[in-house]
Amino acid sequence: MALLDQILGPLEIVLNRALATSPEATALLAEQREPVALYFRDLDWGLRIYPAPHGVQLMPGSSAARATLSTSLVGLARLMAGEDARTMGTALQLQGDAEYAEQIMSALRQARIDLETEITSLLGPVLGSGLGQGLSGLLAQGRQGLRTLLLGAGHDAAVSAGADAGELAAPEQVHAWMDQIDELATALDRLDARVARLERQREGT
Amino acid sequence: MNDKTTHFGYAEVDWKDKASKVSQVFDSVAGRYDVMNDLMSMGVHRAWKRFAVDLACIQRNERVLDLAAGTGDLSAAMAPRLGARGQIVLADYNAAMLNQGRDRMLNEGRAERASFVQADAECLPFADESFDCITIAFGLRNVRDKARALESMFRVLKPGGRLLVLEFSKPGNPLLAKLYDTYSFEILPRLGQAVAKDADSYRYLAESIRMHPDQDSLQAMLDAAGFERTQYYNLSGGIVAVHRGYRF
Repeated sequence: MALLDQILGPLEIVLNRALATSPEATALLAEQREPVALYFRDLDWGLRIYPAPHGVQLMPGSSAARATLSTSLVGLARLMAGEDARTMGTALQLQGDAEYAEQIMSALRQARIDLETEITSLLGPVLGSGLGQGLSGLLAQGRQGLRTLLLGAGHDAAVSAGADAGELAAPEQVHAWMDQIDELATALDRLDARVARLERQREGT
Repeated sequence: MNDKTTHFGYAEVDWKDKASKVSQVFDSVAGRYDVMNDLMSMGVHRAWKRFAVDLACIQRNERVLDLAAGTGDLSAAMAPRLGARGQIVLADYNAAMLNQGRDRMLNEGRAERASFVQADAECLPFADESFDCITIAFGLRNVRDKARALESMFRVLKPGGRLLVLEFSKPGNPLLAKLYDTYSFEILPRLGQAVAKDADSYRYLAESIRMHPDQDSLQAMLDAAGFERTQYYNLSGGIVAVHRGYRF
């Protein structure tokens, strides 16, 4: 599918820019060479993710890889949202080296794509900033929806009953708060790693 | 074409004369090169170059070779990404173009980690395995022996390094190809005459683009030179393509 093949370039650029903010993920990828293939059953189209010294290289085609993940677009979204691959049943089929696939996918999960920056660089600050914020909000809502689906409706119903009685925060407030905690924890991890690197550099000089 | 001749646009010229003829073209247009690029491409060349630089994914502290650097468009975009210990080498066969590039890097305050080398892409004057990334934008079609130049680039790349070739190519859509032909041969030389006072150089530009290998042929040449994981992206419907290959 030539059109889909052509979007791999911009996708790779965005992914690598996001990976650059995580030296740990970049270092992990730099140690590997073999590709992981991703085949989308709903599109009948696949791509190979090659680890590279600067992040990843995306190439069309899903043959000859160390591990092949066969899924749908929704399946990929579930996987990237953090769902355990072992619980996804037929929504995700894996052939080859599962441990290697998990290693690469976990590195990719560390790539935090900054939609606002990406869209601003394309459309300029006036259009891009508003649109980027809107899309980020929409995606955050989508993530919350997905999380609700994964946790199950029963969990939310129980929480909602308490919220109605005025005893608990509303579920969406809790989810937003948990997202912020996640973001903060990730930022702190990066800060820790950065401080450790700077200390090592100082000791080395 | 026999062993002693090569293409200069549509013309067949003596092998040893091509380099000086190409040099004459660039001597003639160097002063107006950037203005003409903006006019000819209606500014789109900036987006093509930005895509190539983004795809190169320059890392801090890397050593980069910008071949056919010309007025330094790619170098100026790559230099800030190199960090404190990175280095960029601007190389060009033509001294007039290289001077433009050097002046630009100096004026923009980016010359600190840049060096400037007048060099022939067919026999690069650098040590083996000395660069992390090589770029060549709109320069390969002017090289006399492209296969030899690609081999030379392969030699100076470090293992794990990548080459990016941004070059005019072949539009895939027949209608676009027809429109592009009309533009190249009817409008471009007139534009060259009006702005750079040189219609012939811009006629050469159009002809040299037509004589350049298409996307698949160039990819095969990269493979033959030893590059791995080669691929290309069409830009503007294939008018331009970015090829990339790695050395492992």
